Amino acid sequence: MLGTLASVAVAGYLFYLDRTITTAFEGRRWTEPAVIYAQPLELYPGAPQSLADVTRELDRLGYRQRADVQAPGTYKRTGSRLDVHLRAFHFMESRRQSQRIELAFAGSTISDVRDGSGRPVPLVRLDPLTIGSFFPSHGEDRMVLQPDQIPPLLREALKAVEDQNFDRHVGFDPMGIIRALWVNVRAGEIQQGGSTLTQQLVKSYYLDNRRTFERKLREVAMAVILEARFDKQDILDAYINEIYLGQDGARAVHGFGLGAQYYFNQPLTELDVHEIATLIAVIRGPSYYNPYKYPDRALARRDLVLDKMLESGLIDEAAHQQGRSQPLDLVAGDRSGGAYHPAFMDLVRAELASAYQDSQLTGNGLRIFTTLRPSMQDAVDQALSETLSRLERGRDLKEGLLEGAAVVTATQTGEVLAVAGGRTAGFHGFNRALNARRPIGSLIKPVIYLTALEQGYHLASIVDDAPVRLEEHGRTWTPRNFDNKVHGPVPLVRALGDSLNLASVHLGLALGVDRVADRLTALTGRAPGNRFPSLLLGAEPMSPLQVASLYGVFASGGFYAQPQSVIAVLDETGAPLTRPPLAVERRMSSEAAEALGYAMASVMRHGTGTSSRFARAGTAGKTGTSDDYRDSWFAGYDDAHLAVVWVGADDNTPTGLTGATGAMRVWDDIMMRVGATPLHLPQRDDMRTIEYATGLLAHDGCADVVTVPLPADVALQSKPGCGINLRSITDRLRSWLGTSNDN
Amino acid sequence: MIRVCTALAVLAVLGGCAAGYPPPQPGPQVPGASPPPAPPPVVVEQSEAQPEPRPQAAPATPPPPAANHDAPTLALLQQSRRSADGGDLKGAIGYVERAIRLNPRDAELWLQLARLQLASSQPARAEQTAQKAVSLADRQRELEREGWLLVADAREAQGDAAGAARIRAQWRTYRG
Repeated sequence: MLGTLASVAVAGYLFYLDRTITTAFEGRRWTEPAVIYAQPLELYPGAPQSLADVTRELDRLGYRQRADVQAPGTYKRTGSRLDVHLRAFHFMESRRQSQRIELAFAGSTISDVRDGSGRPVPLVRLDPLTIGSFFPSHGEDRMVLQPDQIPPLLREALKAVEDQNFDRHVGFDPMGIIRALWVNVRAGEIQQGGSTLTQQLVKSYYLDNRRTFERKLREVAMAVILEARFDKQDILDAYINEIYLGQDGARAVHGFGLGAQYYFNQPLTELDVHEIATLIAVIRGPSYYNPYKYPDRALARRDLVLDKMLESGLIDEAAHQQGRSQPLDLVAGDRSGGAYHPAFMDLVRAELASAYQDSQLTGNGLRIFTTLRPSMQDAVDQALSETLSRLERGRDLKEGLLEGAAVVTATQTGEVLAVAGGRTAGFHGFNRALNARRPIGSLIKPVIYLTALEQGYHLASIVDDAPVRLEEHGRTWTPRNFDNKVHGPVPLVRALGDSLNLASVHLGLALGVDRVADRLTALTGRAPGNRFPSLLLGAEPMSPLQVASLYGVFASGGFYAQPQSVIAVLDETGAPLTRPPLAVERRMSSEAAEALGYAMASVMRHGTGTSSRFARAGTAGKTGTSDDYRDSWFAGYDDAHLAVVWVGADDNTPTGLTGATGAMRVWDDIMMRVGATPLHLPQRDDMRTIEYATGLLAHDGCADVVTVPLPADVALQSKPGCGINLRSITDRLRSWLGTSNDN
Repeated sequence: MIRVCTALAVLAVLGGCAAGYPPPQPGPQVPGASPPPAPPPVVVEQSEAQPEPRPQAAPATPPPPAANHDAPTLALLQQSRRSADGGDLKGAIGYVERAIRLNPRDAELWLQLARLQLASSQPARAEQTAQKAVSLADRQRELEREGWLLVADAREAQGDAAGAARIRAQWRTYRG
């Protein structure tokens, strides 16, 4: 009776083990993670890419410089030409075979693109950078390899090193244990383990290193069950996709696909023999043999693996010698090929969560194409971290006090090209770009001036920069100008350009705080929490991403485009799930948008932005500083890019930085790295030149003048002593006649 | 080549009607309805793209207006047209969006995007995109006119026949 009960219990337990391990195996084996790609670099004659730019991108992608370009993933440089053997890639539209192209460069542009047979090619793309992958189901990262993506050498070498009886045993190998014991005793150290590959696979499904007899038994039982249910090759391939190979910060590196990317920034198929040997070497103890921390240990074990390969006849003597003579060849620095952009990935995740249903996202093998531009992301990361360190040194601030965040978008489309959530790139911590909401200070002012332009004001309208006393929440409040001065009557263009607080408050009150608040709501689709006069000076917290959506309207000539990071999500058959459209929406009249554009450009040429290196390079923008220098903001744009930067301290301590001395420095640094494209301000028939300080009619010969569009019926007084000269009048007349003829 | 040109011309006219253009007016010809010069054959990427779809009897969109586009833009527009002719409007939009990423200030690309959106039954979006094209037209009257006529089509498609008529009346008098 007892015997029967025991048998039933054992049978039940085995049934349970079978269910558990089979489910785990099949679940993983057939699951492909979602893979996320950056924007591919487009190559065409005339593309603004220098040879150095393209080479850098190739290096990012793990292309190797070789004497010949026989294999995909290689390139060769000859003078100002590049021969590239592009990898095959399944793009959004279609699959591209691997192919050779030749690029010629002239200065900072591509002058010629030809295919392998010398025919001109109008347009071709590099493969996009993989910036992440995740299993929606269990959150772990893999790059699952199909059987044909696994080099035969890897399979054979794994058996030779880890499990010589793999092809014969039933999941458990008593002879293997004895052999391992013997080898280890003889060597005086642990060189071989007794676990079969199958046991190792089972163990890695249940990451638990506690060694108890019960666990060991369970592991053996499960291994035997796996062997009974699945064939050897499937088990080996599952092992190759599953085994733990190291730790990249918070991210566990599982499988040889991801391992090859993490350690060598290469697809597995492109690894050399000594690199495959290194990955196999690491299996034994990814921390103990960590090639970054303990290169000597890793190198010694790699050579041991190479010896095994030779002994088993997998490589010949020449390959063995060649392999042993190589260094480890790791990607520089302990990083995953420089392609880990957690702040941008947060945005992608948020967008996916809001635009797609959960059931769509748990699909198998999704491919997600995003707007990230790797060169821009690198520029932003470096600019932020270097400028903040420089500011701390230059101002005797405590090292590490400053934090920052930045968002860069394409001006006309609103597509997000880069996101920095903090000064340490690649660190997945608090994402300030998306989640830190800080008072925006004077970044609010363009909304006031836009409201004014729409209510009949113009850029030469006079507002009074005079003291003002306000009541808010039962308290009296007297705002001041930044320079503590009072400037009296000033034209609108200067009040915005010099960011005059008193003039802005007077103007805002004349328009009505509610009207300004409503305008802000209409521009961004988000109502401000503050509807009191302090809103006029930016007592309204926003995240850098929200600021980017507001300033995107200014930078694009009046069109709102939701800052967007996902271009398309394809399912495993390559069919698009719904595709977020490139959608724009007019949020202000073209007249108001153009006038405001000129005013924002005046900020740089005449106002608070004059200390920028790009003040006279055809840029526009606005500085912002919150109370007591707690937040330093800058939102600036040229024709191609809008960049919003925030600098401050996480604990909200004052930093002493204004928008211009803090955030604008970071913006300058970004622009230095990516280059400025001068703004295209539309030429209008109603342009007039006025003195910046007074708004009086002037001409180009006067000091500090600004040419802005003004309604034709506006009569202006001329500046005494610097009046209109005859030449300017005839010029104007001629150009006016010329324009009329065109119509 | 002649066959290609003829086919394109037919597609252009049919497409114009399908996109909801007003019937051709006597007087100046609608620029969008004239057949574009057939661009040289170009290959964007060697691909395993599906076999070339045959042009259908009622194509969804008119081809882009003739313009001095650079080679990469032309190649993308051509691929876009091929997708549209094969009934794949989403794909066609994808190619135009890619062209816009390369040349975000090219008003004609935004016009083409608006046409494709209109053909995909997204008149509200098409109206906005056409306005964007007008704003980038930089006072080139021909482009502005085309943009506004598209706005009119989009308004009509949204049930605003009066609004559409007003815009058309305003631009009909324009003689280029």
